Amino acid sequence: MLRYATPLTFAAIGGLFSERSGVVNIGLEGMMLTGAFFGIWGADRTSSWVLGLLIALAAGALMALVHAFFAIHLRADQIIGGTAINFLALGVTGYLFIDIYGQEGTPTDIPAIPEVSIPLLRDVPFVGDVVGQMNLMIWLALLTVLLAWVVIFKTPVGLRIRAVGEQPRAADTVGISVFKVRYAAVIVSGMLAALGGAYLSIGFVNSFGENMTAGRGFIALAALIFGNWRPFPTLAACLLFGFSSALAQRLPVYSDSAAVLFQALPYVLTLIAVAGLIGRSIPPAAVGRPYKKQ
Amino acid sequence: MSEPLTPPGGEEQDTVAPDPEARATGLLGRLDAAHRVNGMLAPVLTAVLAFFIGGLVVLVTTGKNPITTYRAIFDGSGLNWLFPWVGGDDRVLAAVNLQQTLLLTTSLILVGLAVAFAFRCGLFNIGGQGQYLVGSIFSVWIGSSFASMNGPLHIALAIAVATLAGAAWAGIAGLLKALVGVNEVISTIMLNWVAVWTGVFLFGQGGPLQNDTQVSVPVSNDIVETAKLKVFWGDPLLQGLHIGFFIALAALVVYFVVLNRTTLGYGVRAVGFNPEAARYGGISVARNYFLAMAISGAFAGLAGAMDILGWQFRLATGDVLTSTIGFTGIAVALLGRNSAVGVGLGALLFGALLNGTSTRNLDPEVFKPELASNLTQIIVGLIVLFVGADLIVLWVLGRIRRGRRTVGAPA
Repeated sequence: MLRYATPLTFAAIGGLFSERSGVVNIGLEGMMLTGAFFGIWGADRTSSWVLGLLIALAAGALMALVHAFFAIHLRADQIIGGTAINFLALGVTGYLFIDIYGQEGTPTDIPAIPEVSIPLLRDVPFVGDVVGQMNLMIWLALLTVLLAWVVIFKTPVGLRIRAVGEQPRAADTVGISVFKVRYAAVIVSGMLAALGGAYLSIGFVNSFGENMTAGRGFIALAALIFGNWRPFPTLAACLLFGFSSALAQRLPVYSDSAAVLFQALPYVLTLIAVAGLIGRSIPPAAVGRPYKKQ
Repeated sequence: MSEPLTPPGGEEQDTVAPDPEARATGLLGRLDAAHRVNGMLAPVLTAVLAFFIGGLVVLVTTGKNPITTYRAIFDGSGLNWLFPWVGGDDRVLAAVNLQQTLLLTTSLILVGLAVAFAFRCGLFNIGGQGQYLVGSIFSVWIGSSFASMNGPLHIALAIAVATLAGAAWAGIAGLLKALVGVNEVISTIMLNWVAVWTGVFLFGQGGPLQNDTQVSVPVSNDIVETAKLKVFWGDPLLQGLHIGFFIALAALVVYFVVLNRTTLGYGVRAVGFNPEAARYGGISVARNYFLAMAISGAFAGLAGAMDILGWQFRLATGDVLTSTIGFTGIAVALLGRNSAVGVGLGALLFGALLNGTSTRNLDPEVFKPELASNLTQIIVGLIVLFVGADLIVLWVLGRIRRGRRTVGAPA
């Protein structure tokens, strides 16, 4: 369940930064896919998963930069821009994948992100079995959530991000550069989404396939909405959605085809959530609105 | 159209002058001028630019000549049939290819109209894919049951049910928008995935609609022979062009008439233009949101029925998981500027592109076919990206003309 939740968590927290700053990021799926491809490509080329991750980060940042430029400078519709990012990422990664690896697919000897085992924790009964030995990225994801909470709610930087996402005009008036903050936030979102993607390719399955993210970026988006644009509830949503994925993967062995319906659960729950049936979901006030300086 | 790439900090981008004349220079002036030329120039430029960048990608990554590649894609689309000097075997092949292109165009017109209709009401329907799937699911279900039914009646029933199902599926998003103000983008994305997994469940192993003969194959039953749409051009055994093509053309006319010549269309456009003003003018915004979404979904559901009854005849979980035609509809509508003629031409362009790059058509000597289909995806992405940018410029221009505040308004 944690393994299924990890890529979602990275992407959802990424989306949190972007949307808190007032830029809708429907392109999370594409940014994840970008990270997934460039992560494995980088790890393959450099024979190092660390460099692979860094290359994934850079690629995700670049993809996010495109989104940011169109959304912020050109004031393009953010949703259309994000949709375009998804198309582009699908095309670009598929294209490069075929061009570089062809029908054989990615090599199997690419260095993978290691599992870490923590000596004391490992020995704790029950808990140790679950968290004693986990992929490094799972820890990193949990750390990211904590960091995101600290940054967004406890630091001046976070205050700026929130200000820009709620009242850009007011933020501008007190001397915050709306453009800079939004650029930074969108780029961070791209990097985090790319990390989530890279975890899929070099941490989880250790290969790449066309469109391998298969909607996880959208589940992350759903988790973000479900978590009401807050880090810890978003993590909880990711865990819940990861749980339904894990269940859908495991159940068919024991029961009938109805298990697949668990895959639809995150989406149904999000529909219910946005309909206001589970408390109110309140997006940042200025989300989706391009900002013009005066 | 190379103008959107002005360096960050370009003055025209960042400042708002009080009246449009004062800023009718640079990007805005150009686009505005472009828009005035019957709105044809901007989309064409958008497409040309996207193809140009796609060509660069081909050149840089493979060293192949992009013109040869595009030429091969063009021939693969069968559009060379339109050139009278193409004769003999080439002409026969071109006819077969063109039939395939028009098959894709048929459903692209309909999913394009789905996105376009919602757009005219100020709604972004990203759910064309889900609505298309729901339409496919219902038409395959109706088409493969009631075997003894009268043919034309059976077809009519399958089409009607698929259309209604698409309308209902989109209607959920419309209703949520109208009643509780749920952003339709979010709800339609979620509904897409619910449709996908429902489809996988229905036709998957042990699923309620899985075929009766092979329990290990996750596919539906075939629709019965009499429920298939008649092929009027080409060999029915080789997926010739079916009469659904005319249904799609008729849908273009219906779209135009409903939108421009009826009270309903007036309401939809008024709300799309300015919901506050429409409300003030006594038009029910909520009602129009719902209706626009439902009609939008009806088009997409119809597209599903056309593909099932016209040439696919069955639905496998693989199709459900990998189909992206509804998303291409977004590009069709955007490039076609939501007009009937534009959607028709946009659908033809993407139909040709999709078919021209399919594995079957492209000679591996010229360009790897698997690469080419991804090239199509890149071009689609670029077109959407560029159109998104200049659409908003036109929109902003319109807002400025009406002297309304756009940003910083308290929500």
